[in-house]
Amino acid sequence: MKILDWRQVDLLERGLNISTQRNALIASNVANVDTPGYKSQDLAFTQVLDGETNRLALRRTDPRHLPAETGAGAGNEVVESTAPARADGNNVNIEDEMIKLSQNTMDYNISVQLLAKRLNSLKSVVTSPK
Amino acid sequence: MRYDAVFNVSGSGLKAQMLRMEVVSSNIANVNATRTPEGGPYRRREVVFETVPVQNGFENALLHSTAASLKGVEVSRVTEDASPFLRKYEPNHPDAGPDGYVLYPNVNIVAEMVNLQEASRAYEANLSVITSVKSMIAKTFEIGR
Repeated sequence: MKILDWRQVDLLERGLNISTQRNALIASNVANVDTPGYKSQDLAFTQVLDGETNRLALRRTDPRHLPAETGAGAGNEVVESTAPARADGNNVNIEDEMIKLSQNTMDYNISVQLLAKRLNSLKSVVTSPK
Repeated sequence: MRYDAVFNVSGSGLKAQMLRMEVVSSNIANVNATRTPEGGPYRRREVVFETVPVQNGFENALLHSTAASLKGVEVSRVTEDASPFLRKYEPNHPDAGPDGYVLYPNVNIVAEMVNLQEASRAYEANLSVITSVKSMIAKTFEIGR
């Protein structure tokens, strides 16, 4: 592993950005839980992920090696939910939103922790040999 | 990345739900009000929610490409319920008509209590979004630690 390889840090940073954007959309959905005609919004993840996995794929010396899983990319396409709407045209499900919220906060915390660990290991490389 | 959009959005949700609770409390308080300054009994009031775009500066629009999709909420107007008043036979009441019937407000106390619960749950939901954003911000400071 190259210690000065910033791709991982970039990736984690983008993960944080995505979590923040997604969090804002969840906030918008929760605020509009009673607004007639409002449709629940979220980020389109899968399409973004497909594009990114090719670009950031781990190099394999043997095709029989297991492929590495990569994190989400920097996509920010907002999509409206097509879930069936209530009588007032609103399709926000508060339970779903709350689950998404805790999921998203967890994702964010994981990214922060990984980023902190990565930067800490870099720091220990720089400072340890006296 | 800016967090103030979330606070604006969830804050608008809190305000809107609070206004709804105020309207509900006005309905409950006036459940027996047979007289109003406009004449006649009290009419039940209802809030109408409407989405509003989040107030974002130019800078925010640049940094935050999902900002355009973010919608706050506001109570666009408070409407009066046009359903008929309740009629009770009380000939001794000062507001009784010539037939002895008194018109009471078209407030259904059970419906109002349900409305109140709904508003308070929605308020709590907005509040937990704010709490989670706060925890995310606090967590961010661990990056440099």
